Amino acid sequence: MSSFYGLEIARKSLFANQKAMEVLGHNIANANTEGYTRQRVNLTALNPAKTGVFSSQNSLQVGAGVKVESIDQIRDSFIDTQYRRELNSANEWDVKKNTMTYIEDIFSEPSEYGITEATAELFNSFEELSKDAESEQVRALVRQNAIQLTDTVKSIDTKLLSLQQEQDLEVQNITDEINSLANKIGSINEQIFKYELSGENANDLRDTRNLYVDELSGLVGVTAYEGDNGNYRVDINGVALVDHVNVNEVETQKTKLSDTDNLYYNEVYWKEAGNKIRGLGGELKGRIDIRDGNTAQNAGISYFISKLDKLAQSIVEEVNTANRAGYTLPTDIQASQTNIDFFNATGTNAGNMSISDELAQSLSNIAYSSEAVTNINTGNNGNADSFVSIRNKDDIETDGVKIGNIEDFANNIITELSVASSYNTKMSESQDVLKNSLEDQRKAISEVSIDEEMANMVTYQHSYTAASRVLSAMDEMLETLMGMVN
Amino acid sequence: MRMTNGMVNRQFLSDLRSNYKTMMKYQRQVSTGMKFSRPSEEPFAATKSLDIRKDMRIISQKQSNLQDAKNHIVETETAVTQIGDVIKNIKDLLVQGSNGATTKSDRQSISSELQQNKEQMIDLLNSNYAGRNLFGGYNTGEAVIKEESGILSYNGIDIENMTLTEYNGKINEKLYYSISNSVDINVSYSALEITGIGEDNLISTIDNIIEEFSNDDLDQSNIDKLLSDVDDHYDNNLKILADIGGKTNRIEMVELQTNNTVDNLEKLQSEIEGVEQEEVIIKYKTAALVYEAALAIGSQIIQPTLLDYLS
Repeated sequence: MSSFYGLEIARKSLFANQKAMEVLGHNIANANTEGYTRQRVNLTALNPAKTGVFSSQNSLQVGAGVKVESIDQIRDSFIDTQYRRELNSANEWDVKKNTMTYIEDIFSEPSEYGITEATAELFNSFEELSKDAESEQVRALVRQNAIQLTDTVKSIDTKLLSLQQEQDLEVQNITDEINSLANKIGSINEQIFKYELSGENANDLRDTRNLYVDELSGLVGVTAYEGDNGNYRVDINGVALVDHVNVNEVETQKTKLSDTDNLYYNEVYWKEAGNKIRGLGGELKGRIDIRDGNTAQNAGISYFISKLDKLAQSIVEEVNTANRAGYTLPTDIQASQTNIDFFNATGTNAGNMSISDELAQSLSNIAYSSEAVTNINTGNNGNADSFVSIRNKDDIETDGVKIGNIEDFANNIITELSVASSYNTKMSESQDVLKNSLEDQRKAISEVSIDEEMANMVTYQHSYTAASRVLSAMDEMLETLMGMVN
Repeated sequence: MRMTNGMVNRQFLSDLRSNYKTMMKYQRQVSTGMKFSRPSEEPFAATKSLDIRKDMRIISQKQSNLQDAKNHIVETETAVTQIGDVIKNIKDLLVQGSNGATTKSDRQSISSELQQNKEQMIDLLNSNYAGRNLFGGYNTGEAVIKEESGILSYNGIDIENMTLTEYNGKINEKLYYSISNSVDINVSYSALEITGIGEDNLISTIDNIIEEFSNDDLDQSNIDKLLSDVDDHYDNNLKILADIGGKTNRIEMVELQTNNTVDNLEKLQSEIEGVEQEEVIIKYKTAALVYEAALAIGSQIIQPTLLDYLS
């Protein structure tokens, strides 16, 4: 055995402790870095150096000191997978919750300026009409309330439509973001692969990649895994978005939302294969669901727009039927006539509800009379009851859709909205709890603890000092030996 | 479980935020007096509240209808009562004039008084309420009862020669008030219901008396007929007054029920939408206490690290 064997052990110990201290410094420096995973030096004891096959006098073999085997990340990829799954859901419900809350604000019920109030005001003014039909003021009130109702309905409709378009724009933006992240992951994959060929771990690059994958999970919902050959793959519903360095980009294509409207909205497709992507998740799914949802189970903006359309249509049809049955007041230029519309008959949805041109021109076109009006019977309010009774009807149907009672129908829209919104809020809250709990678990494993690093620092410091002492003791021993030579 | 400084910080901040959110909720409840600001916060209560608000809107319209119906019927009652007084007066004059002791010249002065009564009667039948004829059916603007070149007409139709069909058509021109969801009440009367039709209608009867009084000698059988006519008209007037009384009672009854319903609805609404200020303030105080305690503990727990004790 060499006389300098001991010196060599002490040197390795010094190096190892120094390396550990450097890694510790790196940890502390990144204690607050988003996505940083704490690192540890992986130390192993070196096997004894064998000098020869017949070294019988060396039967008591001493190990060769310490070796820095690797610098590892402390991370649990199982929790990563779980966390990403919950983040995916949490983001989806978060979008739904926020948008639905905004829809509630658009309807602003219960209040004095929503559709329920505006509808009731119109019906109330019909009752005033029945009491004092020939009064010009009362008819002016009726017309004013009708205009207020159409304005309220139109304004809500416009806001809902622009909210829908905002969701659509967001779909476009998210798609761009997905491509950008996929490309980043692709290029980082290449770097990691090359770096790790040497056998070292590209810890910090892996942190960056994990951050990107987290972000993708929130946006669209992905699964990520590393193959045996070191190739890293990110999938959307089983189809590769990134496979090692290859990126399979996505794109949006405009598709018609439904047969009835002329609205074109973005759907997400695989750019190369050209087929629609199934099983989207995350924020993207939230945006698309809330944009297109038109059933009671999946109530989105479309659903409430169509409800509002039905409300508008039923009011237009019922009031027009009432007005067409009656006779108008004669004016200087027009004798009393029947079959006149109250609302514009072509405006049968929320967006184009308006009072008829005839009513806009003259208040005399509110047809409250049951017979042609001359001077002697201007007080004939025989048809006013047709208007009043609309509010009591509970079997109204529009386009084969059962409306029931108009005011109840308006209330029901708000009820459905509040139930859907409350459901989304609860889902979002419970998803947040899951996500946060997993985030905590992940941080518990991976996050830097200053106290822990400090404790380790003391350990390494002492080890370093001890190693130095060993070195100087060895030195003294050698000096003694050398002195004898002199 | 391994805890890191970051986790302690995050947990602390998230708890603090949720405490703060609770405080904000109570603060908003106190300042708005409402349990919820969006229906989704309390979907069940919100649904109830929407229904109550709907009922309230309808019922407040009914209250206004009731008030109008009441005003209308009071006005009608006054006019009909005055008409009754005039009829009574006519009867007195008829009795006075047909007394054997009265001379023709006495009767002439009585006749001129009768003429005035007739004009007063026509004025009363043309009464207005809120710019609208009280007894005119669908005729709201023009005079209801007119006497032109000796022809007495109601809304342009000769009363003396009116057919029963015309009469029935005209007295059906009613004004209805919707005083509850199920009850429409008509509070209007046609002048024809008061005068009757034919040659012995109320106004023509006055003319007939004046004509009889202009004769030199009175015919007792004519006088008897006139007396019975006037009595019939007076009875008819009382009948209408009784009818009005009945309707007034009905309106008042419905009004009472309506006011009761309004009270109940208001109570229900405040129970569903409203908050108990005392309760919320106490809750707020509790939440504030928790918040402050969390702040105090937090400042203790997040400050020190091992660094403070390493030299």
